[in-house]
Amino acid sequence: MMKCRKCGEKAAVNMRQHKLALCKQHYLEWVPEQAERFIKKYRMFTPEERILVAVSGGKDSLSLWDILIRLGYQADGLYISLGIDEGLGYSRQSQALCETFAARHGLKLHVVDVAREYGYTIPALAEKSRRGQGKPCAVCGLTKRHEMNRIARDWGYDVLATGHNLDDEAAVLFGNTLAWAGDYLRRQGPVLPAGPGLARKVKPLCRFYEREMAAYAFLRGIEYIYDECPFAQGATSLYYKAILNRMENERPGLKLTFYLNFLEARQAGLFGPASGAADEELHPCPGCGQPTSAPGLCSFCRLVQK
Amino acid sequence: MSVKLILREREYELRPGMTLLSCLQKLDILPETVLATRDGELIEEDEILQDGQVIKLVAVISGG
Repeated sequence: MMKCRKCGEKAAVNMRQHKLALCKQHYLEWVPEQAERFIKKYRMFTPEERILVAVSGGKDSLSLWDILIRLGYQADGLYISLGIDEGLGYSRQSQALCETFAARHGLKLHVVDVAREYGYTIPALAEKSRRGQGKPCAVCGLTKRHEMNRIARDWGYDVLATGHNLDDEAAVLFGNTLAWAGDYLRRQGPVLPAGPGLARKVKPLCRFYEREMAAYAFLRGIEYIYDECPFAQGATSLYYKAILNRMENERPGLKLTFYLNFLEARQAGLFGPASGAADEELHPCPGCGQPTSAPGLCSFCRLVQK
Repeated sequence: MSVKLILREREYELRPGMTLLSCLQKLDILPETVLATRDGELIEEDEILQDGQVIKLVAVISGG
């Protein structure tokens, strides 16, 4: 029987990558302790700052919110309703789970409905855009980034936190490495500094395995949306995750080493000066005021005005 | 004599007496991609599964 390293009771979670097994109680203490360590190490935010947590109703973002509150940070939630139904009521269910979580913990949740704001749901926006014929993921990502930035700016939040875990980050890194996408590699990291009109972006879960976050949500009794977004099937990120997990299975710790060695290389300047949002010349979009790299409307305003 | 493993809508029947890890390997499921639960409790890879037990596997990987 696998035993908890701290108390010798039966272990609930075994992490081969850390050579560490813990019982339920010690696992639920270990996760926020580690999160706090990463928040401080990467200078993500301080207890005085106001954090906006982007919540989707999934295990990672709701667990992140839970962890930040347990650690005593000032964290409000933001749910962006994308209008994804596909006969499953996917967005409606996700929103209900976020609302239940917020109500149960007495937390403030902002809800933005994309269709109400702009007249189109994400599938409808994807239909009318050349960018997303049949596959709304690119349009969805663009919209979410735009709305997260807008709400953080309009409501005066210092920091925008997302629930990206290690598997998410390793999959993106893997894709960017295969493409030698230097600019993306230079900008990927636990913190993207604030720019003019843009809040700092942070990923406090970036060193937690996806399995660790699922175990946290399960053991904390957090109700989250278990079903995959109906559009995620066949997503490239899932393909990269599957490959990385095959390698992880043979070599425990590989995903973490891949990511941490990347961060070190990036810090050492392998991809150029390690900087963030403010390193290229940006212009305010005449439509929404958010910074954009080319003069004229930003990609989001072009998308909704078509 | 069997152990039942359930992952999403699929059910798999295996013979009892094997560890959870062996069961997952037999089904070609990577341990990294699931949590295994029995009666609402997490169980780990070295657990030997007994006749009549039902193990619910929770998929942990999400995309997007």
